[in-house]
Amino acid sequence: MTAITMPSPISGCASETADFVGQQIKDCLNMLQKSNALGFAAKGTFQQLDEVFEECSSEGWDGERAKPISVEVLQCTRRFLSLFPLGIEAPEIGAEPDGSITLEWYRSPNKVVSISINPDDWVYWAALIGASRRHGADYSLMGISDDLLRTILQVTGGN
Amino acid sequence: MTGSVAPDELLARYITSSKWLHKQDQTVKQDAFIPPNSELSVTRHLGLTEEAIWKIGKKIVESTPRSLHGRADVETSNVIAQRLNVVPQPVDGNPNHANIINWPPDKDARKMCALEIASVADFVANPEGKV
Repeated sequence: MTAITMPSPISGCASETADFVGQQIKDCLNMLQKSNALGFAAKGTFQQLDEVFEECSSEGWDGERAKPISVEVLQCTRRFLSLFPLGIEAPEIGAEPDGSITLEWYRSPNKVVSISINPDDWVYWAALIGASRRHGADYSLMGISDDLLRTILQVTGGN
Repeated sequence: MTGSVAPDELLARYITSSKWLHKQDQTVKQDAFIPPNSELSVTRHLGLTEEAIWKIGKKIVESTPRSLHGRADVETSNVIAQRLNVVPQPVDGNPNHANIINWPPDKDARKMCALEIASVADFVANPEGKV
C-alpha cells in the first residue's frame, strides 16, 4: 500500500483565514484517520494502546521489576502515531519492562522493526531484515524520519 | 554471585504478558528481553526438571494479577554473542536465578540485542494454560 503524506496543520499563524485552513486540515486528517483503508484509528491501534496502558501502568506489571508506563509516554505515543503518513499498515502495540511503549511491524523473526517510545520524547528503533541490522534514535516531535519510514515499508512490503 | 554460566546452558525468560507474543506465530517479541534497568532476570535450566522450571514461573506470578503464558528458552551462547554476560544471582525460592548484564547504554542498541535474542528464542507454552 502506498503511504500518503498530508500537510501538517498550520500553527503559529494569527489570521482568521490561517486558523480556518488549519482547522480544516485537522478535521480532514481526523476523518482520514478513521477510514478503514488509511487510518490507524479504524484499525484499532488506539484501542490497543489504551489496553496496553491499562495493563502496564503499575509498578512490576510483569510480575517482576517492570517500570510503569506513564501518562506522558501514552500521550507521546498518541502524538507520534498521528504523525504517520496515511496508508501505513497498523503496528502491534506492546510494552517493555523499562516503561516504554512499543510499535512493531512483524513478518517473521528475521523481518521485523520495533520502535520504543520513551518518557524522554525520543523514539528508539531497531530492525532485523534478513542479514541487515539497523537501529537509531529520532526525536518524536520531529515526526517519522525517512530512514525509519523506509525501514517500516521494507518490512511490510510497502515499497 | 556464584560460579559461571556455561555457553550451552539454557535460560528461561518467563512470559507474563500476552503482549509479548506475536499473534501470528506465537514467537516472542523483543519487548520481553528489554531489561527494566541494567539487568534482565532469567532462570537457568541447569539441573531442573520441567516441573521445577514451571513451578518457579508460577511463583513469580502468584502474588500478582499476571498470568504465566509460557517461557522463552534461549541458549546462553546467543546472549553472549550480543556481548552481554549472564551471571548467576540466586534469590529466595529460585537458586537458579541469573541476570543478563552488560547492556549497552543506548536504548536503540539494547533493542538490537533484544531483537537478536528474541529471533532465536523458543517459546514454550505453559502446559496448564494461563496460570
